[in-house]
Amino acid sequence: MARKARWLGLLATYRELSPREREAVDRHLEDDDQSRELARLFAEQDALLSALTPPCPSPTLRERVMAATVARGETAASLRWRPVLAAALSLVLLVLVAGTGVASSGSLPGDTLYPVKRASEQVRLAFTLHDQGRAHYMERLIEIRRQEVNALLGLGRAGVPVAFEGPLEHSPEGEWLVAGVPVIFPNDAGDPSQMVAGSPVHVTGEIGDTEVHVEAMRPLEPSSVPAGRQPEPGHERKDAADPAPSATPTHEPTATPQEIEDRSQGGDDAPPTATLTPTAEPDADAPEDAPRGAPPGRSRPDGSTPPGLDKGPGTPAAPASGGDDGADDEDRRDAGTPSEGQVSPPAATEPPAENRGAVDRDPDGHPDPTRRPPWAGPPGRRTPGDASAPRRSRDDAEAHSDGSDAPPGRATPPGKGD
Amino acid sequence: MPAAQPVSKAERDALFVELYNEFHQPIFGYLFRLLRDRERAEDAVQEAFAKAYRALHRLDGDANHRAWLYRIATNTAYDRLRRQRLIAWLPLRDDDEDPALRYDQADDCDVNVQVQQALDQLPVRYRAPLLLYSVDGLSTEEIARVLGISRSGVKMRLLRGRRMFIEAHGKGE
Repeated sequence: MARKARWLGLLATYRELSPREREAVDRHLEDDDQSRELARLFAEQDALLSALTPPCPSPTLRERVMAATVARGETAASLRWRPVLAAALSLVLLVLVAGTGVASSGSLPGDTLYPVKRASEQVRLAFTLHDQGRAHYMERLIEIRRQEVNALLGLGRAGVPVAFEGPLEHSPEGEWLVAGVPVIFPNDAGDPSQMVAGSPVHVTGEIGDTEVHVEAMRPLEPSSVPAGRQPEPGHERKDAADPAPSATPTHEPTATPQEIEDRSQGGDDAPPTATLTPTAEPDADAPEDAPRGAPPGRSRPDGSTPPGLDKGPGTPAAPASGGDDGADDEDRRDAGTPSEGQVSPPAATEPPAENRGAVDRDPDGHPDPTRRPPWAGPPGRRTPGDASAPRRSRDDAEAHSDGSDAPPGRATPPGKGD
Repeated sequence: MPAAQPVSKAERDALFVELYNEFHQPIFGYLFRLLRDRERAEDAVQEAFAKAYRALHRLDGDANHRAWLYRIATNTAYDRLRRQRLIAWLPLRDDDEDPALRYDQADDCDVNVQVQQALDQLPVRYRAPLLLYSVDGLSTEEIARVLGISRSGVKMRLLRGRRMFIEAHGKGE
């Protein structure tokens, strides 16, 4: 069997056989008819296959092949340099990314690279897994935000939206400060006088000429303020036992009519009382450009009138001591003006709480610094010529310009003011 | 046949053009009969010569260029047939069409349709050595290099392929 297979194998490759092998095969074929027939078929087969007309490739095949090989120039040398090229490109990319990161570190809100800076901060924060390190870095970020706001104020980049946080303070010059940054509060941004001095707040707003126009403010947990920005000694804090500010106006006046009558008659003799509520009313005799009283944002935490205010004998500083006319007192009584230590009711111009939350806060519950609430007017700005005058919020100016006696930030409950 | 190993790019390009001019026609015919389609055969020729060009710097100066090129072409054809088999269920091509009609329309030079039809009935592993031996005239030694098998393996496949072809061609007649 193996012998026959060997003969057949020789027949299949008869062309390659040496003359001696061919002679042996030919002798075998003379004796074996079956093998002779097979050899004939194989020879016929070779003739058929070798006679096959070679197919003609299309004329464009050569161009295609050359374009993919020689003309392309992709040789072993270029392949050898490919890893080097890839490494060089990676290095360039790394330098670009690192350079962008370094360049963005000094950017300020409104700059092109500022989002890069914030993103890199978030990345670093996300990769800071240790609690202590994370808290330390968050404090550092709060300080960076404060420095950015100060830098923007120094550069005079008005209109740039900012968000920062820190303790709410009141300077001896009558300015409201958040983390040392001067701020002014329009009516719809919240009444800082209702806050405990030194309490940490998160503020969103816009850069003004020399201060930040607050658009929204929310109190923070005291622990969220960096240790370096805790309230300074000397700033009076409200008693911890004071009730929390309430936005719900009460219909129950805190002073009886008899008390108010007494005050209206002998109010001048009553001693001024310390309060955070601004009370000074415009003096009719005072010049037009003179300070006419402490607006809500200008009242001092200790209740005293900021320097520069004309405090005549008929203009007591504290509301508990009575106003300069009966109408003011009447309004205050109707509005249920709290006595000393109590908080003022919210201004009537404030939007409903649900509207404020829907518009002014992002999905995380934080105020959106880039959006102004629909009920807020244009941010209050001081004119350059008014720089010498004490800073007043826009709402203060509006309240006084329309001749209303009602102190700014105060509201007359519906149905009571008419 | 070129013998010296190319050094510079110009030498490599010159060697490649020389190899292409010498072998592109038989390799196209070999691939055409393996793949049974002109366009696929031309694509395979382009791919095979591109591979050869990229590997030319590794080729020994005294290497058998014909066997080397046929090996690249065979592997390229096997890859394409494998892919074709994987996507054979897709109704993109009608492989059941009349082979005679396909060869008549596709190749003006090939008139022996019956021989080609008989070849088409052979499995590729037997068709390839038969084509290499009987059509392209390669020796069993070269076929062994091309297919990556032993010489005895080539002889065994050749014998089986020849018998299959006789049977297929006899049916066609």
